[in-house]
Amino acid sequence: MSTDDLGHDDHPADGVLDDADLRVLAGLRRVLDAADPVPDDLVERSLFALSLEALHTQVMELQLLEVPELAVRGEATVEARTITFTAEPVTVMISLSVSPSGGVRVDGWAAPATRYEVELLRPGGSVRTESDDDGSFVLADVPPGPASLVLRHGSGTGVSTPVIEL
Amino acid sequence: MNRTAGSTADGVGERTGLAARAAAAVVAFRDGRTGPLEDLVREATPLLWNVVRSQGVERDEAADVVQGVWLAFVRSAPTIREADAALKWLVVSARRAAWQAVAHRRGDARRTTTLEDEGAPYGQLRSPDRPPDEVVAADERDRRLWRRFLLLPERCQQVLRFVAMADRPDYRAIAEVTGMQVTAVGVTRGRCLAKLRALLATEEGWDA
Repeated sequence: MSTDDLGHDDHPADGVLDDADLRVLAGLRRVLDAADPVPDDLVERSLFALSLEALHTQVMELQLLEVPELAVRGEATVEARTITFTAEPVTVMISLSVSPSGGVRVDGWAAPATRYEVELLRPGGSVRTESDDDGSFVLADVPPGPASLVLRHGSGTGVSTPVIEL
Repeated sequence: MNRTAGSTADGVGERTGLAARAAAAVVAFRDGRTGPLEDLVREATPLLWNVVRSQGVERDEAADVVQGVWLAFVRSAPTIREADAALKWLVVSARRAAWQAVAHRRGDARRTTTLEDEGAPYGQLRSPDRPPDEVVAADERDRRLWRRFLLLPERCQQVLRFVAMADRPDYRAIAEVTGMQVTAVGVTRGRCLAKLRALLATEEGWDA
């Protein structure tokens, strides 16, 4: 009910914002947020795009070598499917299946067989693991959605897959 | 340049707020540090969203536009001459990209159907799919605030919308978005806030 600090005639036109100004602006922001909320995933999507962009300056992008027909992005369920990528001299094959929790299990093999650092980039973060000496690795449970796999070996140039829909 | 990015007296000078953090993010990014840029994406995305939406871009497309602005930003980061102008760069890019999106859609619409809403008076500010007078605000005070806000001249609405969405944006960024002279921004901001507060003073209980 108190309107005592409102409506001053001598409100400075170009001064520091006072508390009442800040309250009005905060209210305005609330209303704008309610009227037209920023999509929940926009920040994460943008950050994902940026991390991929940064990545492309550091790694070689693998080309899709072979993709069975089932691998067309399944909307309802994740089909078990195998995708192969290559960029001389590295070849990466991944097999996707449904994890017990309903997420996605990624089984991967990389050649030439050696120990790779494996990173799965996705909006909202990344998951890391390591392959064994034979180049095989497992990401047991990752959320569905767009993702890109990055493999690095020692100090050599890394490789990354294009964005795939898990 | 001073590297203590968190310090208040660092290389970007005394200015604080979003414009300063945008500048610091560019400097850090050139330096190979991406943390400040990620923080900037989190903080400034709502502002860019509003800039794009206020140009009449649909929600789905606006999301793509905002994401595209961020991509363009990092691609341009090495060549943005004045890191200090980074926030201005962002909003100018967002506004341009929004214009292009709208022009593109209008072009499509012209080819496929008759144009609706040509010259709609509030096209600049009104979201095409959600008229502001139907805003569902959580509380009555905010609904009153919105009604009063809509009584302000369009220029005031633009400025305050911008100031509300950004923590202390610099005047250059506001000037770019609103088409005002930089020197007029501070005065306009003050007058518009005073006007809004005067309108609110006629309401009971807004500012409890």
